[in-house]
Amino acid sequence: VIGYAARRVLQAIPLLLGIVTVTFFLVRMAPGDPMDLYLDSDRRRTLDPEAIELIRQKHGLDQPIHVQYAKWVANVARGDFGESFRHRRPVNRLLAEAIPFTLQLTVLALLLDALVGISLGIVAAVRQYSLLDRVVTVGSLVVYAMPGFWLALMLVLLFSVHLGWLPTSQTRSFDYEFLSLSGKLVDRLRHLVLPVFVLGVASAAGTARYMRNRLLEVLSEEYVVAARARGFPERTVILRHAVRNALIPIITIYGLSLPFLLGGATIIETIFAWPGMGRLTVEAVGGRDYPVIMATTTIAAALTVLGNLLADLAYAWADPRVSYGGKRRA
Amino acid sequence: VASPRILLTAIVLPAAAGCDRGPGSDPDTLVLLYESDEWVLGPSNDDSPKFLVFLPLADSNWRCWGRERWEAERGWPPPGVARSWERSGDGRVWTVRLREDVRWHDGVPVTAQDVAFSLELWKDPDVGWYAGAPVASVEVLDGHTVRFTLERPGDWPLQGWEVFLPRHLLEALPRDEFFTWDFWRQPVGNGPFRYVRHVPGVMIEFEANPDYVGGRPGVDRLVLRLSSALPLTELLSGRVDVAPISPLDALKLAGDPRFRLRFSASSTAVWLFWNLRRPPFDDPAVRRALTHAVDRRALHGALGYPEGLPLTDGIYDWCAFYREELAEPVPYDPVEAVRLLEVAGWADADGGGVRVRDGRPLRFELVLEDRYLPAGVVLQDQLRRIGAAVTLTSVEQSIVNRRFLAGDFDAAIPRRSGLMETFGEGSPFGYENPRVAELLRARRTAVEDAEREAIGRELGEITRAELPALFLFPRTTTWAARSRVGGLERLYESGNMMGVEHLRLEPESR
Repeated sequence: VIGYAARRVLQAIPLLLGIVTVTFFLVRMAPGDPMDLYLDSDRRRTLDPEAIELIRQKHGLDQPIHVQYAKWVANVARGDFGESFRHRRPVNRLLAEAIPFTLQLTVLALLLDALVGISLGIVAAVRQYSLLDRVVTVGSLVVYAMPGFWLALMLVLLFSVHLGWLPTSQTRSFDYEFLSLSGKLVDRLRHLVLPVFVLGVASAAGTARYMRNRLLEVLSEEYVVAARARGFPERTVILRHAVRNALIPIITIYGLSLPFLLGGATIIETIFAWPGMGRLTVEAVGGRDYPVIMATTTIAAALTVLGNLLADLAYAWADPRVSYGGKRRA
Repeated sequence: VASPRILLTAIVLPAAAGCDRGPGSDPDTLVLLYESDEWVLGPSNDDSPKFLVFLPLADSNWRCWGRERWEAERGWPPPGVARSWERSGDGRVWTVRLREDVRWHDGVPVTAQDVAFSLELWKDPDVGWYAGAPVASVEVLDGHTVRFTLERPGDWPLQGWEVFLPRHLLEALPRDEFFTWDFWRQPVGNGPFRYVRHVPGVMIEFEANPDYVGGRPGVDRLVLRLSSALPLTELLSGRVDVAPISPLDALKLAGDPRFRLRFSASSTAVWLFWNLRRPPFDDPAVRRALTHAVDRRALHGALGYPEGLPLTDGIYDWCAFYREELAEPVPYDPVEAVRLLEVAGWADADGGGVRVRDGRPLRFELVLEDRYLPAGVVLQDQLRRIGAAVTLTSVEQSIVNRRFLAGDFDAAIPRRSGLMETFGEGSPFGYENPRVAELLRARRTAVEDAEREAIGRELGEITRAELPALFLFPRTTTWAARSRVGGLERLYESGNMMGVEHLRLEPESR
């Protein structure tokens, strides 16, 4: 296993380098200039061209693009993503502030997705063609097709504006610091409910449909029939034999969700004013904040590669027919 | 099977733990919505609400109006550390006398040394701020008098770095760490509100500064809610008292007794630029016809702006804007527009609705950013009525500006830079008038007010005659406030929140 993982990690290095190289040049080829920030007559501080040139020099933007690229790669190899043009602060600090918020959101959303999606998929498959199956099938289709931003706004209107039960946005209340420990926990949960629900439920709808179909396939397999013929209780047959096998491809899906964990959810983070990676990325793209764009892209690329690797490892672990050498056992 | 129940519990239980009353329901706290959540008071945020905490040297309008007119118009004294100022005959030396009763929030008096220190700080290459007027030197004459010498004659020397910093707190800090000083997270200012605490991504809390030179602010506690969420939902849910909203959102709140609206126009305007290097915009008659064809009052109404928004044509001086001395705009007159086009040879011969001259249709592309798309749709409709076909291209702001600066457009609504760069030599939209370029240069170094005003008048006359660009509307901030908020008419500066100290919570609503 270790040898296989090491090989995959080595193979990932040129892949990663390729991704960030293409991104580096694409971002710089895109229209727009980070220095536009200082040319806007709306703003109070418009700078002389000489001052803008000084700032350009300070950030190395006056140098040939291949020189900029070489410097960037050298700095990243040392773990330094540079300084944000917009925030004038080290990108590493911005990431350190944003990542915990994104993780809160995405880990809970993935858990909700797994819990609800897999459960509903199992129920729908086990009770195929029942009323419950039809409700789950149609409901998951509707939710899956529903735009996340629309669902988010509708929930805000209902639970925050009309009912006043939940906050409209942000991560905690103003008086959070003065709450008891349980009060703080409740306050955090209340702020998490809507964004986690919106993120999780849309994914859960897809998971439920996938799980249902996979489980139906597995339930018709001979070994399931054999298990039933041996007199195992139906609950054991489904949970121990069928579900475990039906889950194997879903492991791959969750492995590929790894970039989402740190990449964040741009629209949901914006709607709920959640100060995570998604919002940081959107702001960076809008402001042509190259160091931040490159940092978030590099992280997303690395996580995608890592997610693939983990999914492959988990797949082989869950399915004894798959070997690390790439040969399928009989 | 249990999952739906768990899901429902996850939603309902936390909610049941206590309905979210929202901070906006606190009778003693005024809550303002502020979109940014990063370094709100820091130096890298140009639109920061810094005037909550810091006093400017002198407010822009005060410089235009003079103290007497300011007080007569506004009914309260102008904010600022400066008491008075005078300039030398050549316009290079400015001597500014400071008020002696202004103190930092820690009780230390604000002195000329603070002003000199701040200027030195802004210009220090280690700091890397690069902003500021071309000030060659600054000299402290006494504890409350400071003299600036400019590199060239010019206007008010302190554009761009109007906020002064406490020397006694910052002198010893490393300058190469300027942007990460803790001071920006816990600023000690000299303005109407004192910093209390900052919860990143959530809020900044302030308390009234009882020693504020402009008098005690109208509210004891002020909270900036840092949220990029939709302002309308924040207002409707009662979580904020005051929020800047879009004019179109203002239409939704108009007539709702729970809210009050305030429109505050700034002296900068949104312009539509014709590309004068391309036909048909190289023909002044066509430009005049198109200007006559646009009903700008109707445009303002459609966009949710109030009636009576300042409107003009041609270049104007910002002081003329604040003094309400703008020249009359070209009137809306579609009949005259059609006549001018007919005379210029543009005719709708085939009745297809689009005028044609020499086989070339009166059809052009208007490049604009998303936020101006509603305005573009109204313009498209109004111009269609006189036989001009407009295609709208909506792209992000930086692309509009790039295309504008490269001359790659027919018509565009960019965010322009200064007048000199836009209308002077090398104009990106092809405006070439040597006299205008000369006047713009002279305007930059004009010393006397009368001279500046005379230059402004001539610039206005020339550009109103030539109509190289179409004035659409002044940039306007639309504020919405819950009905419990009084003093909204005194809120006049958008990003920097000038005038917030005049807001109050109405006693009857408590």
